[in-house]
Amino acid sequence: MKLTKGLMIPLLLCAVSGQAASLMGMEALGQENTQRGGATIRKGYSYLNPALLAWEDKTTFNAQLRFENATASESGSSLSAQSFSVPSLSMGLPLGFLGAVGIGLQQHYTVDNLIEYSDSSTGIDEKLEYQGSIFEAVPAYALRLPSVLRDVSVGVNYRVIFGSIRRTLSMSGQSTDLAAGDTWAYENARLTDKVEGNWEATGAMWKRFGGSVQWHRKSVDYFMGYTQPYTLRRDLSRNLQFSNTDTLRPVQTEQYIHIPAQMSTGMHMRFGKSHNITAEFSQQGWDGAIPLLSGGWGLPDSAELQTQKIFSLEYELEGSGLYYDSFLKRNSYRFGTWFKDWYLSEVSEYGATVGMGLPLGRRGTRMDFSIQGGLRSDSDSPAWDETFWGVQFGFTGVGSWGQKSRRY
Amino acid sequence: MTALLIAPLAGLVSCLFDTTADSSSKSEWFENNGFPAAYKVKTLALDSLLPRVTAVGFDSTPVVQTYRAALGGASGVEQNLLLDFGFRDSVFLAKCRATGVAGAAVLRLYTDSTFYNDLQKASLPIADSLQLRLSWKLDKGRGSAFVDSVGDVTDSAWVTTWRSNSVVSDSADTSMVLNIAAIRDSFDIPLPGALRETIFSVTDAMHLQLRVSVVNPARILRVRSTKWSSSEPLIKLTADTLAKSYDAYRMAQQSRVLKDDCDGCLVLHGGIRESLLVEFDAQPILKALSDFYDDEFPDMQNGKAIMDVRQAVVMAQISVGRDSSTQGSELGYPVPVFATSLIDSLQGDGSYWQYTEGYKLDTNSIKTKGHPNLLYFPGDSLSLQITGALRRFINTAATLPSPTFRVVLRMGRPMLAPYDLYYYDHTDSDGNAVQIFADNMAFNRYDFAKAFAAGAPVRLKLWLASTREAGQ
Repeated sequence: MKLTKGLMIPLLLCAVSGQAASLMGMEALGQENTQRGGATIRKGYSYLNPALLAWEDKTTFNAQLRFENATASESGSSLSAQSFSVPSLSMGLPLGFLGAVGIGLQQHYTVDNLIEYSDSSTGIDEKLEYQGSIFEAVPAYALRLPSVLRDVSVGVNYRVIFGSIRRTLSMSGQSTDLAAGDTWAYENARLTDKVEGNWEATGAMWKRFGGSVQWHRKSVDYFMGYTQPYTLRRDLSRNLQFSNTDTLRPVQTEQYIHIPAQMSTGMHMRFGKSHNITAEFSQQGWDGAIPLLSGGWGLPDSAELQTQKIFSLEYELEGSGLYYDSFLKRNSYRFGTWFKDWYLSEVSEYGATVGMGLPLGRRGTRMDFSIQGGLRSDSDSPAWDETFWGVQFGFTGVGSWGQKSRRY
Repeated sequence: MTALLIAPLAGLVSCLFDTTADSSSKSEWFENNGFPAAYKVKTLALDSLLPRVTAVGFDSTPVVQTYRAALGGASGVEQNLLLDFGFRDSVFLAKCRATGVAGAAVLRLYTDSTFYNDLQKASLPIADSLQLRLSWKLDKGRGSAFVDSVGDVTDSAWVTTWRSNSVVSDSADTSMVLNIAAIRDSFDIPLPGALRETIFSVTDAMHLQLRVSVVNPARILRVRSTKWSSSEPLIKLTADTLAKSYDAYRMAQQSRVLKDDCDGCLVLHGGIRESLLVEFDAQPILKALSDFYDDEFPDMQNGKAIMDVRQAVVMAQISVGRDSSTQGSELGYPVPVFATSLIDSLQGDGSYWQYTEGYKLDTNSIKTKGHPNLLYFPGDSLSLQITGALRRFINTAATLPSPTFRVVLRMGRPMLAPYDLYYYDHTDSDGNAVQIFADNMAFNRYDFAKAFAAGAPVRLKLWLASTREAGQ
C-alpha cells in the first residue's frame, strides 16, 4: 500500500495532463475514453458497472497510462498526432457486510492537440491548439444482496463533472489587393482567436446518478448498467486578441449539451480452469446536433450526432494463482477486439488489442500491458480517416487494509 | 470541491506534442476542416472626419526632477525651479552672522552637460545679464530631528503643496551676469540680501523652500538636479575664508503657460504637462463600417454583439495637415506626437480609462520620408496611429448609448535620428551608438488649428481584419 500511496499524487497530476491523439471531434466534446473488457465486469472499479465493487475483497487502487499515436490521412496527405494520458484512476474499498465504496476519476472526453503550420513563401504562419477535458469524479457504492439473492449485487454511482476547454487559433494576416505601401500595417500582427470555457453539469442533481446490477457466479457474470440523461453546460468566453493584453471585449456564451442515457450490458464466462470470454455492449442515444466551439471564421457551429454503440469481445487466458508457479504460467494473456460508433455522425472505430497481465506480488498487485491498434473512419467528405496504435499500462495495487467482504 | 482543486492543474501540467506532417498536409487539413489559413486584410479610408471637440489641458502641478531641470522661458512657457533645503549649523551660522558680507550666500546650479553637449553646443558660450526673482519660506527649528523631518517628506506630497501659491511668503529680486563657457559649468545666483539675512539669523536648524524664476527670460537654461552626483544644486555660505555648502533635498520644475494672444489658434506646448484632446463624432465611423461590410454594424444577435472578426482593427491611423516650418520649436529638432486614447468604460457611466497607443514602424516610408508622427519636420501631413482607440471604440460602440471616440495628443522629446529604422537607442552596423530620442525635453509651441480646428477634415484610415471580401 505504501507503493500505491507514493504513486497516487504524481499519477493524479498526470491524470490531468492527458491528451487525445485523435483529430476528430475537437470542436465538439473530443475523444471519449472507454473502459472495455474485463475491467467492467471482472475485477475492480467500473464507471459503467458500480455493482462490480461488491465482489472485490481487497482494497485496490488502479491507474491507467496510455500512449497513442494517430495518423489522419486523406488522399495522400497525412498528419500524425501523439498523446500521452492517464485516462483513469480508481480505488475500491470493501467494507465487509456494509458493502463496498469506491471512487474513480476519469477523463471521459479529451481534446488535446497542437497543429502548427508555416510557409515562408506564402507568409502563412498558423497555430491551432486545443486543450481540454471533461473529467468525471465518480464515487460509487455497491452491496451484495442477502439470502437467496446472494449471487446478485447492486451498485450506484454519482458523477461529479468538471473540466475546461481552450482553443486558440492564431494566424498572420494576408492580403492580395492592398497597395504595396499599405502592407506594413499587418506585418507581424498576429491575430488570435481564443475560446476558453468550463464544463459544468446543470439540472437536477439526482440526474447524475447511475446504477447497475451484477449476477456473479464462479464461472459466469452478467451485468446491466444504466446512466441517466443529463445536461452539460459549457460557459465559453470568446475573444480576438492581438496580444495577451490587447484584446477585444470577450463575448460570453453558454452552450447546453444534452448527454443521453447510456445502457450497458456485459457477460463473462469461464471455460475450464482459465479460459475467459467477456462480451460487452453499450448504447447511448445521441440525437440531433451539438454546438461546436466555432467562432467568427465561418466555422461550422454544430455537429450532427448518431447513436453511440460500443461492442467489445475479449478472450483471456488467466494466469495461475499459485505463487510458486513459473513466471510465464502466472501471467495472464489477452486478446480483444472492439467496434464503436462514435457520438459524432458518420464516425466509427474498429480496434484490436493484445495484452498481458503480470502479477507483482503475493497479494495480487499486478501490471497490465497492452498494445492496441485500429482505424477510425469518417464517411463524411472531405474526411480524414485515422489509423491509430497505442500502448497502455495498467497498474493495480492491492492493500491489506479494509475488511474482507462477507462470504455466505 | 475536487473540481476546484484539479481543474486549475489541467493548464499547468500539460505538455503538448506538435503534430508531425509535411506542411502541405497541414495546409490541407486546415482547409478541409474549415480553418482560415490567414486573416484577410482590407483597408477603409474616411476622408472627412470632423473633430467635434478639441480642448487643451494643462497640469500645473510641479514635477519633481531628479536628474535635469529647466529654468527660464521660451515658446510661451515659463520654467521655475523649486528647491527644498534643510540643514543645521549653529556655530557656522553664528560666524556668518558676525561676518555678514554681501555675496556670502549663493545658490549654485550646475549646467546640464548632456544637454549642452548633445543638443545645444552651438549656443555656448552664454553671456546673459539675468534678473531673477527668488521667493522663499524659511522655518526655524531645533535639532537634527528637525532636519531629518525635511528629508522624510515624500516628493509627491511636497510638490502637491506647491500647487498653492501660499507656500512662499517672501520674495526679492537679485541680478547676476550669467556666464556659461563650457559644457560642464556651474553658476552662482547671489541670494538677495533679505533672504541672506534671514538665513544668517537662524540659530540652529532651518527648512528653506525656495522658488527661482527668471524675470523676462530670453531662453531656457538646463541645469542638473539632486540625483546627479556631486553636481547637486546647493546653497553655499561663506564667512571670512571659511565656506560651507548644503545640498538640496529635492528639486522640482514648475511650468507656467503664458497667455497666448494668437486668435483662433489651437496651441499645444511641448516639454510640459500639456495635452490636446480631440473628440470625433462616432456615427460617421460606424456608418462607414456598415457601408463597407454592407451589413448592420456592429453585428448584434439577441441584443449582444457577437464575436466578429470584423471588429478586429489591425491598424488605424489618422492623418492631418501639418506645417513643416520649425517656428515655435525651441531647439529646432523634430518632435514626435504621441497619442493616448480615452476608452469608454463599459459601465456606461461616462468614466473612461487611458490607453497609450503603440507605434508600429512603416520601415519603407521611414527610410525615405522619416517618421510620419513628427512636428517641425519636412512634409505636410502628420500621421498618428490610434489602433487601440479604434479597436476599443468599435468594441464598445455596440453596447453604449453614446459612444465617444477620443484621443489625447502630446509632444515627446526631440528626435535625433528621424530616418533611423530603430525606435530605440542602438549601435549601428559601423559600431556607432545611435541615440533616437534626446534625454531632454524641448519646450515647443505648435498650433494645431490647421489640423483639427476650423473644419479641417481629418483622414482616418483603417486596416481591417476580415474573413470575407467586402460586400459579400
